[in-house]
Amino acid sequence: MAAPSNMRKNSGRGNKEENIPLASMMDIFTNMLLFLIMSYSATGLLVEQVDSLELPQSTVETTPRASLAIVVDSGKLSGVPGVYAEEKGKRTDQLDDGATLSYVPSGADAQNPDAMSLPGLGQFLAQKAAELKDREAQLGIPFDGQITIQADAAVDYNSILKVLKTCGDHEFSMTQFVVIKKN
Amino acid sequence: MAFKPSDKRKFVAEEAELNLLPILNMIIVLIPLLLTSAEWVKLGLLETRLPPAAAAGGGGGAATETEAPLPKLSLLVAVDEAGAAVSIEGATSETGEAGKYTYFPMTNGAVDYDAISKELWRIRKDLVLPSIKGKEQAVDDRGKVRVNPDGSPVMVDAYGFDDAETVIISAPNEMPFQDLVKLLDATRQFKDPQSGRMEKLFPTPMMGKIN
Repeated sequence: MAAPSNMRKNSGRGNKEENIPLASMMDIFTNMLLFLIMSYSATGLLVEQVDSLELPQSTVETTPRASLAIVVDSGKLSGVPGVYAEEKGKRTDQLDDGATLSYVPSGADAQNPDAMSLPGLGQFLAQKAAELKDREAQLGIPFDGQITIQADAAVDYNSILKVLKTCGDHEFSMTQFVVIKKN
Repeated sequence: MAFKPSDKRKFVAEEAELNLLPILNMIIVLIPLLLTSAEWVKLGLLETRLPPAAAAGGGGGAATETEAPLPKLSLLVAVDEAGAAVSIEGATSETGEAGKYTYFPMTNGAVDYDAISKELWRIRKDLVLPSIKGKEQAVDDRGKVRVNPDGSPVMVDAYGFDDAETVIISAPNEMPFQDLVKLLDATRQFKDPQSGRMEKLFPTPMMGKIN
């Protein structure tokens, strides 16, 4: 008597319903979900870190708020120092170049208050202040003079002062620097 | 005679399977959503102000500083190439601190942030905290009274100095921003080794330059 072919033996397997063991996959996904919920933050939608910028670390605990934003880049990572306008984590226009930013007034120029101002940033802020005041008049959204600055950790103190002074001169006296929170 | 088999034998315990597919579908949708909004790097905001003279043109900020009836502390932290000095320039002659100058030389080529923090805590403990007269309504930078969610005004300590929470910072032109942030951290809070608590120091820094 001929032995039944192997095909027949195996033909019944296709009819059985094979269940993929989902329990282990569920465990992994549940752990991932919990981890992601823990690290969820709505503040990331308010302030985004700009690429090629090394922000300083601080023990500060204040959470970011959305406001007019600029970038002060030392050029350490990007290679292009200067002051930029910022929107949604991207640099848009270059307002002042690296030479203007890093210029240290000396001699008679040291007594000139305009030597510590950044002209490109000044024009940008004047325009933005006018826009925000119009918005205040039309929509009632108060203009509070807040500006958020993303400055590279390697930017020097002289450049920081220039940016602060220019902001103060153009009605943006509430300056806030974006930092990376330690721990 | 044949007996009818018992009904009990017909009930075989079946393994109930939970239908995980809907939950799995939901999780697969949730994970990409959470991945995009996860905060991998926690960002914070460091608030600074310009000294009143430089900020005079500003619209919002420290406009109330001009008509202050209270004496000024004028606490100054000045960093130079060799170290840092903490001094009080204000009207504190009654305590013998006016013009007092403490210098902290650099340690291992870096500013001694811990020593600065400790000295500022001493000043706050000896001068600022004893000057508290009670409570007063808090006002924001635009001079408006701050209110709690229930509508009641926010009450804060009424200091005897106009600039009791302010420190003026001066640093060399070439000081990197990261070092400046460390200095600002040192002037903002201090960990008291006795109590182990974080004590508030001078949370409002004003940056300037001493010529």
